[in-house]
Amino acid sequence: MATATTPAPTRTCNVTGFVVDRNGQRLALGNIYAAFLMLALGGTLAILIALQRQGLPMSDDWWYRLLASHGATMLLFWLLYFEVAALYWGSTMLLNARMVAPRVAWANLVMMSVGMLLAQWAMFTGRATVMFTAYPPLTAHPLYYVGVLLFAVGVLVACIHFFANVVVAKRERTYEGSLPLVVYGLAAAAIIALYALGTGAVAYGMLFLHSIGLMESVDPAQYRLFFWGIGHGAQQVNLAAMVAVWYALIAFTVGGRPVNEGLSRIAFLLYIAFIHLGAVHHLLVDPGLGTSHRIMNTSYMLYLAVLASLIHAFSLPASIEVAQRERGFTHGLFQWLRKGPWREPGFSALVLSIVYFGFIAGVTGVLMGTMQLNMVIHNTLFVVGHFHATVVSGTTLAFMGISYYLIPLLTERRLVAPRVARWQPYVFGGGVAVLTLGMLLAGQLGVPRRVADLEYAAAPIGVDLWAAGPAPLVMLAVSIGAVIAVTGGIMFLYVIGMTLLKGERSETPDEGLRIAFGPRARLRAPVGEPTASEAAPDAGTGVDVETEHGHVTGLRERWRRFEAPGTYVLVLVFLAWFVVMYLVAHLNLSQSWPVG
Amino acid sequence: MSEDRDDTPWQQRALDNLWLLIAISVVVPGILYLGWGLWELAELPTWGGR
Repeated sequence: MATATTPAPTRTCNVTGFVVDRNGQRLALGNIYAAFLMLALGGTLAILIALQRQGLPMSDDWWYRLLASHGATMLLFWLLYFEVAALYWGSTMLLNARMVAPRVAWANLVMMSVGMLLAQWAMFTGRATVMFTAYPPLTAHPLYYVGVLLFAVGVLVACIHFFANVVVAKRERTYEGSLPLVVYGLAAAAIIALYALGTGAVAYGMLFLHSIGLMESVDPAQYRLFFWGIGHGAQQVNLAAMVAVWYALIAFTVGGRPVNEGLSRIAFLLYIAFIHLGAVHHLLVDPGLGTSHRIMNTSYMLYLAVLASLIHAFSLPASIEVAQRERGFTHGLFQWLRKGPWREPGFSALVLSIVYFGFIAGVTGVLMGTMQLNMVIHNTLFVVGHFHATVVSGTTLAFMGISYYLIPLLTERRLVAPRVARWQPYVFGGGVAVLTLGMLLAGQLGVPRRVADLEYAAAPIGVDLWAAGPAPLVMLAVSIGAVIAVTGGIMFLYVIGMTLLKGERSETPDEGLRIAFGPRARLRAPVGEPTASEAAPDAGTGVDVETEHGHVTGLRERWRRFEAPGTYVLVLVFLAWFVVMYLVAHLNLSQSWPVG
Repeated sequence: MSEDRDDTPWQQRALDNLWLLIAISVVVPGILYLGWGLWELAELPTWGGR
């Protein structure tokens, strides 16, 4: 009774001005710590898997164990722990609100961790080498399914807790009007998670019942339909959370706001309604589903979700451009971009993440969702390249970027080794660029995925599908990319780990970082950079322009008519890239099955 | 509270309604992906038992 009436302990953040609920702060940190442990484990497994390709001695059995754990650790545990932390952060600190049931949230973290450990135990002991998809008739130890289900239920409880926090915050009037866009994006992630977790519970529930003998068999086609509700849906949770983090990073690093908040919210609505339908692109070669079902979902309805991504693809850089132009960087089309805070790890991670996700992950995803094109690369390393581009160079890089701000703000410690942090996104981003592009090219050459022995040395009939061509060289590039990316991951964990262990406690933990966010930061100019008035004292007022009709128009008037011309050029480049990639893909298709 | 609601455009109120968004997120894929897919699988002789 006493705990129900005692107000939650709070503090006011000196940097952002937000009221911070300490329960929310501790719970966000607890989940972030678990996420970082998973990142370290997954990265270790990644380097072992990559080096096996270059001759590191390893039995096939162990390679599959490590691959199974790598997939679950990175695709599920690392990202979902972090996203749960983001849900707690967004629904408390960004709303000046409190955790409704902190004890439940702690118990939830314990349950998720028990589930994670059970699943890891089963995979490392060779009892669950069924890979991430776990397609029947492959069968794992019952505790593997129990572990995954416990973890999934934990994520579901965290989502419900997020909604409870938001509802209580609204009732207690800790914020006015609509949810802030970042929290709205996190809400979209939580909403998308509900359906995904529901279908996943059915899929894994069937396998669990089968593994303990209570269900005679599991229909593979039925299972795959349910499984991809979560297999695909979980990645869309990452997508929505990543876009929310992008908007947060824009606010943190350049003080930017969405150019049209309503349009950005509609884009999130399109994700909520249609992004799950993309799951069918995993089933394009399944014989059970009819052509109408497959094409209607992936080639018609899914494009409404793609439209949402295209809205964000304009809105995000436009927000940066408008914010930079307001700072005075108004010269030409791209001064705002050239003069960006490239030494800020949050900004470089943000831009690299957007570029990789848009140009590589998004385009290849749409290509794979096209039924005819999917036939060329299905079950090759191209697919692996696509989802590494999404969750590694996109989501993981974005999450690393915001960690450089969240960790100091949540722990009230100054960031250690900022120079390492400055270079880290470039090292990590460069590595994953080589890694993913290598995988995409290898897939085009026919290199299969999920095969321990690429040379089929133990096959009764010799198979030489790709070994004589350039594929071995490309696979070497994949391994080199993995080594560079893991080096970037080590740099990240070093900075974060040292900050947690040895970071100086401070009430102004943003020192050394540029946080253009909140009341205090808004009053000062970024270190080493001019204020808007210093950079362009006559911007928008004194410079006149001759138009082709002979009229004289003030620069401010020009920009008012077209606030983000640089972004407009960039999205045209993106469109051209999209068209070229589509043409190249169709050229490959035409050469795969010559007609006549 | 009610005055605030009156001033808010219905489109914004719809976008702010988390319960409506949850319903959309379940109904749309529930019909187009799951329902339609299960119906097609049920039509297969091997799954429908015919």
